[in-house]
Amino acid sequence: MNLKAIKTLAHKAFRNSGGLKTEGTALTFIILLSFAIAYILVLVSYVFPWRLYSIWEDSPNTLLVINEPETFGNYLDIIGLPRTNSDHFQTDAYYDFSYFEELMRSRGGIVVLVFPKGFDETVSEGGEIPEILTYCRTDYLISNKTKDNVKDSILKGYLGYVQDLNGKTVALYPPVETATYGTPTAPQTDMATGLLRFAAQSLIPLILFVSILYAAMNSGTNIIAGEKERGTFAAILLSPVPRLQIILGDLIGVSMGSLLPALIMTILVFLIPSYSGIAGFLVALPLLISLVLLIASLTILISVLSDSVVSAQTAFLPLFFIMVTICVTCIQNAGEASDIYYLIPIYGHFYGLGGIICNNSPKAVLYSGICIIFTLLIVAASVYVCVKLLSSERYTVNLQSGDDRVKAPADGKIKAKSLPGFILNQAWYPLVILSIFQTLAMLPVLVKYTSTSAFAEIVNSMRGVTTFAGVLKFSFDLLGLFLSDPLFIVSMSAGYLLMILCYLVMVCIREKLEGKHKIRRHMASLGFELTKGTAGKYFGGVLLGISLMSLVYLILNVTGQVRYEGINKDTIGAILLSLLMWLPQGACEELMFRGYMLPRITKKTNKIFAFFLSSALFSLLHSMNAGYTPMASVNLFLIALLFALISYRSGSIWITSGAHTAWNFCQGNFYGLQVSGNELTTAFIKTTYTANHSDLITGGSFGPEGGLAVTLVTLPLIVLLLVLIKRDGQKADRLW
Amino acid sequence: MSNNAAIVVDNVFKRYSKNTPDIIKGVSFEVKPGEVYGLLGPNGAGKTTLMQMISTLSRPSSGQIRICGLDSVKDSLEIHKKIGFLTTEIKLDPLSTPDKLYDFFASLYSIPEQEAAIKKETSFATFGIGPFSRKKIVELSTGMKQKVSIAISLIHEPPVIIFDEPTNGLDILTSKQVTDYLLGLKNQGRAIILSTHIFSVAEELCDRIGILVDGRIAAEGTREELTASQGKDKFEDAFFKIYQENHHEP
Repeated sequence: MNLKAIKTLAHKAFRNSGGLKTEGTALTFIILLSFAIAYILVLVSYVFPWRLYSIWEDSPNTLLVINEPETFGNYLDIIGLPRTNSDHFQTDAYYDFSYFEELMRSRGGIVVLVFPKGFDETVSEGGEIPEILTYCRTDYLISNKTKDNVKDSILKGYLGYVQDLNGKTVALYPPVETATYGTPTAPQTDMATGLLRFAAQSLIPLILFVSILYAAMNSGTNIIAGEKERGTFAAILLSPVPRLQIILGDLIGVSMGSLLPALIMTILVFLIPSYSGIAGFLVALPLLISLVLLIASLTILISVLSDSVVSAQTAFLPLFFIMVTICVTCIQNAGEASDIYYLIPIYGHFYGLGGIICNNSPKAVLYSGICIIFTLLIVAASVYVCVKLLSSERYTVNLQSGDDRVKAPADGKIKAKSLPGFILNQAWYPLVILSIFQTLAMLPVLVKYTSTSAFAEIVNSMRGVTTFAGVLKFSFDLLGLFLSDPLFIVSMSAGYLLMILCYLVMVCIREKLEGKHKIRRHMASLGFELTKGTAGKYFGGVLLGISLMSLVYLILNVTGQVRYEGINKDTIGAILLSLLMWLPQGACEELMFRGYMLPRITKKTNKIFAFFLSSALFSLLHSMNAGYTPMASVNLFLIALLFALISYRSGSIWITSGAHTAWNFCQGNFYGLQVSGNELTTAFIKTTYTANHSDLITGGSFGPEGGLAVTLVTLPLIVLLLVLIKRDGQKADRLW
Repeated sequence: MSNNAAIVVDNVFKRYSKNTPDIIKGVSFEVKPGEVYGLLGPNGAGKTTLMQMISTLSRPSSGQIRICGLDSVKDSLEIHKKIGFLTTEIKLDPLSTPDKLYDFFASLYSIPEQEAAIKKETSFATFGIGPFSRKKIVELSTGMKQKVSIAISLIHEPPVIIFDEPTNGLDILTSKQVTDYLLGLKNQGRAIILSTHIFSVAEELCDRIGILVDGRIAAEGTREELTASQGKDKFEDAFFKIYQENHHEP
């Protein structure tokens, strides 16, 4: 084997990636920035845990007083110390810590002071000062500080005050018994540990994945595919270096280029004192290298299959999105994944890295070894396929004779550099617009709720939340609460209408038109073409949505997954009101993905890629919803693909807007199922999961969109539409 | 078929896929060491396709090509050590420099570093690349790029040289330099096959010329033989007569 040739090729591939000097695109900047922020957060949380904690804590002196003597109340008023609640708690059971714990949890207290009954009388009669009990929560870092504060200043001061009041000396210092029972339901972790664990199991692996994927894409698509495009590849093929060595050299070069940034991050991460240190780093290193090899080999395979950088990057994007989706599902189950996942490449890398960094899972080390073996097998298979492909003409020379080559794309396809940027833009628009307007729409109802006791209870319950999944669940609980409020529905509805307007304004500014009826033509370019059949299309869509969801419900019911529990007659008003939100919501999401994105990506690249990308982005956008699973991602992709095919065939998005609205409304407000992880409280039909239901079919807490029933309904329709489109072509082409 | 021929093309056919017509339809010829063989033909005749097959970049659909006695399909790696393929279709990395590229290919051809350094100096001096050796390829003129290409393609001093359109896009001066160099190589005893659609190149350089029309060798011989066989005074006129007699509109 010509090792020197491999080394030279590796060096070339590495140099191609620019080593550390990658081009400073916006994406590079975002990745670096998010890494820097995450790193600083983790470090800060280690050095100043109390600071982060104090953000969550409204008052460090949250004191609950039981059997409060009048003199103590007076004393607190004198020193100006607020108590959590002005109620006077009375009890004879001084040692009933479970009651005090419950009090602390429900009232947000940290320290409970328990006075014996008749304290003032005992003291004024000149007797010895009886015991004052102090109970204290242990699940917060701050509790010790508060406890000391209560013991050293408040109680001491109070006893002095009592002495002065009675004009005589009593026992100098009372026995203070401190019971440090924690709330039994709270996990034995503090906020800082929780944050560190969240970073280790979720943030750090995600950032490593993205940085490796990005670096591999940069160099992997530039070698072979880029060399073919520039015409430099044939010279390498003509050298006496075997194909296997060419691939190995490129693999090593791309891997080194992708490993370098990840390695620097990993070293920094293991320097964080709470993590597993140098030993952990040495264990993590093989796992990291195998991940890099896997991604690099897949990138090279894509590169071998492609003729140009653009086509390679286009082919790489789905891989990128699939990996990110896997990462998101991993984040949702961080720390709770079943063992089998540790063995599967990608999943195993994500969980394994998290486990090793935290050093809390010896099995992560054992399983990562098996995961590495599986990964290397895939790498070997991928290299083998590359070598085989390079032996065939189709993937080596594209030199054909001069005249044949003139069939180069003449329809103004975009240049290599702008494609990833263009696609990134397409992905950002909906995300940015949704996050701005949904936040705005939440403000009125949030303001309304902050003054209520229900809100205080929810915020209290959030204190124990330390995992990412917990935070997600919490925010969806809150959303569920809001969803039953008319104010929220009205403001969300306004928000969606504003989003539609926003798109219209954007199109008017960016896509200049000449001639009459500009607004109307802009609307048509967004898929809202106004013709005589518009109303018919829309209601046809509504019927389609209703029948699809009814079919899903029927399947769930017949297979014994859900039980029909009766009808809520008194909620009809609220249900009809919620239609107000679903109407613009359906139209808005259709506009974003099918009306705006789909035809525009088609124009720049091609139909098939546009269908794939817009559907993948639609699915990915829902990935932060509660209960998101790989199954849900597949189903959302299928639903999006179905709607994309319908809008392609009908030439507008009227049908899909109607169907989208009807689908969501029927699912949540009519049949009482979850809509993409959102639980609606007002539904016409009461439905419950049966005891022996399977999450695989019902979709569990994500709702039917996460289960097989929806797959069963959408898949045949997709096939049918594909057949119809193949047979007739598209009927209307104004949108395209 | 003589055994000492450097290139033997034996009844070669080529089609790119099942549903397309043959591009090369039964071509046979031989090139001996110290001989320059020219493939002359209009655009689309199949010159490039034929050159690719001889250089092993693509495979004949049927028939056989032997280079120095080696089969072009089975022994392609061995053949790579014996051929230098020059074509404007194979380009140099625009962001690299002649210096780096020379070292890169020297390493791929397993030429020891010291030897490569000496060779580089001689070869760069021959073509006057020296002053440009540290400039990026993208900054070089077309002629200079072509010269760098030649220097690099012949890095391993191959006995067989395949040259696709050698003077395409070059000015008169550079053209002269390149043709002179080729004649020098011929005198060293190397077998050279070149394709061209320029008469002057074919006339000046080639010992024998094969006229390729629609994927077939329509006529073969020295310039004088070809001119005489058609009863013409000028080689150009003879070529047009051969072309008209053999070309059929599809």
